[in-house]
Amino acid sequence: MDRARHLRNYDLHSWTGITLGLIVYIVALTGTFALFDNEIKTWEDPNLRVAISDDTPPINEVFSTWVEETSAGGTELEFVRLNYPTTYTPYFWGFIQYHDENDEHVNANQKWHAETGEPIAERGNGLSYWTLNFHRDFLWPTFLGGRQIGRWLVGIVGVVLMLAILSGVVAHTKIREEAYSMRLKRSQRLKWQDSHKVVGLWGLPFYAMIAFTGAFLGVVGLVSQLAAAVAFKGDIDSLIGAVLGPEAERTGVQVQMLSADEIAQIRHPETGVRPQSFVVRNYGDETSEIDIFYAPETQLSTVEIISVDGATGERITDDPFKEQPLAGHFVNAMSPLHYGTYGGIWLKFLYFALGLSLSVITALGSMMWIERRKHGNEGTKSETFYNRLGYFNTGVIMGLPVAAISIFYLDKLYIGAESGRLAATGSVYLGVWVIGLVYAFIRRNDYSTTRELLMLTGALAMGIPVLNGITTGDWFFAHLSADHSIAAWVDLGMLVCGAVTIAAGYLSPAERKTKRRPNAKIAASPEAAAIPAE
Amino acid sequence: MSPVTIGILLVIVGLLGVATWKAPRLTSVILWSLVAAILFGAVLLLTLPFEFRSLALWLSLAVPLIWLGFQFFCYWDKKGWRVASALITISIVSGVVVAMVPAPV
Repeated sequence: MDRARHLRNYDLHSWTGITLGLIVYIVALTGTFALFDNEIKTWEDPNLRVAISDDTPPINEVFSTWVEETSAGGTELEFVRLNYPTTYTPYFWGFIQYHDENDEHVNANQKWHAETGEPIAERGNGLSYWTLNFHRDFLWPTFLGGRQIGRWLVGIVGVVLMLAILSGVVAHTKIREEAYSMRLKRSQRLKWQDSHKVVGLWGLPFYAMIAFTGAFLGVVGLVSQLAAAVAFKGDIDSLIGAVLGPEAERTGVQVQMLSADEIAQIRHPETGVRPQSFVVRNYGDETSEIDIFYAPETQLSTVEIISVDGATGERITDDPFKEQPLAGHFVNAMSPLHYGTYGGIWLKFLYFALGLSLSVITALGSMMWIERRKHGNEGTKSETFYNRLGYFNTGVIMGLPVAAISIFYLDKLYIGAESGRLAATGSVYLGVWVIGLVYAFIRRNDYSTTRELLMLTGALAMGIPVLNGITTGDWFFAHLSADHSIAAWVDLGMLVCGAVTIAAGYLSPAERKTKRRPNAKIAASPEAAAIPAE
Repeated sequence: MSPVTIGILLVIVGLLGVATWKAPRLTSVILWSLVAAILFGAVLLLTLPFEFRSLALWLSLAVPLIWLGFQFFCYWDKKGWRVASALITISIVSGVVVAMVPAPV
């Protein structure tokens, strides 16, 4: 490759990193928490710490009464859904969507106890909801366009990450040598540079996969749908019809539906597993259809769906739109691949480690960029400018893990109304993050800030099992081998991660040790004269 | 279309023209690569001779990659103006094809 092209490619890599590197870092780090969404759900709500037996109580009467009473007065029941109890969601969970008398869409849901069938009081969204959805769409506020905008932004981050990976691979012409080069006894910047390259190269397949699946899950809703909409000249109804097939119209002839208890007995014809949930369209009408969702035979798939007639239960097999083409299997695999749900808890730990390394690479990238300009010969601005940029960078990077851990404390210590739980969670999360940022500016030393906030993150993480034990009475060591031990393992995981984080903080330098070599412009500036040499 | 709308559109087109003239690579990586990917994706959906639903699913996987390819091309080619003109040409040709080929029923 000629030198000019190499430089252009290097600039592309560098600028994609520096302009959107912090957002990539935020998405990557929040993603490592989002991996454990189900486990955190169980940790946050002690009512979910129950084992599920095979014999669940009849639910049909309770469920159908709720459907009829809730949608009474509405003009059209659009769909009805029931989730059966599972390990992570040990309760029945019903959803309906209907049009009210003003023809507005209304959604309603209700949970029932897995053993008694009694309604369960709603717990407000909080810790797990924030953790998962901040990763997915930043919980983008409505006044700025709503969460779909946030999802597109996260998807665009995936595309930017793919671009950074591609340009990074092309920029490194000596991949084999660089994959093994760690000069730990040289300058701080070389250590960061080598770590950035070595970790980046070894984790390359994972990062490429996570960037592509993330881009797909986020931005495909924008770009691919736009392309399809353009192909259909904006006729979205025709497009939906062409992709999903024709939708059956209600005839108005009422029929007796299959009951939720009968559907629960319809095992998958090939795998023999019981249904996880079902969705009814045209509920109560002779055209009604039920999509029954099963755990897939291969876990590299989200669900397996079998459609049956709503009244007779006969399988609908002659509809080409129900048959999954090969491309559908690929599309279906995107979410399990991205969230690591296809291989058990150890795969999630591997994803966690690799996700964390991706955060570290992006953080190191922005740190190196600033370091080169502050202490190397690439800077064109004043030292004060690069100092402030460094404080901002460190505050954002190191404040985020503290914020992510602090909402575990909020969850257990919250005493307000359930409807306000999510707002309180968001306020604490963003508030703590801003405090981290302010701390970096007050401390005026990126090394000390990093060290101290790392140790604070570790200490807070190690306190989580104690917090859980005091507030719920579930001490993790007593539940590790219980029937339902998920929350105990979250506690243990936090304890271990906290200890490792404290150790990492303890081993980090408190200040820059290598001698500074100021660039010509900074050395000549009046500010440089006022700054004592290191 | 009202004269005000036409005026606003002309201003936007003018600004895009100036941006493309002054910084062809940057404008291309931010804007023209996306426009070209969307229109080229639409052309593939309309013209490739495969079963429609399957093709739509494959393209949903491919369009982000096409976008990435166009973005990468922005800093690969030696001449900045060639990058911008290539992407704008792809967009225009694709737009013409989309306008001429009827959507599948």
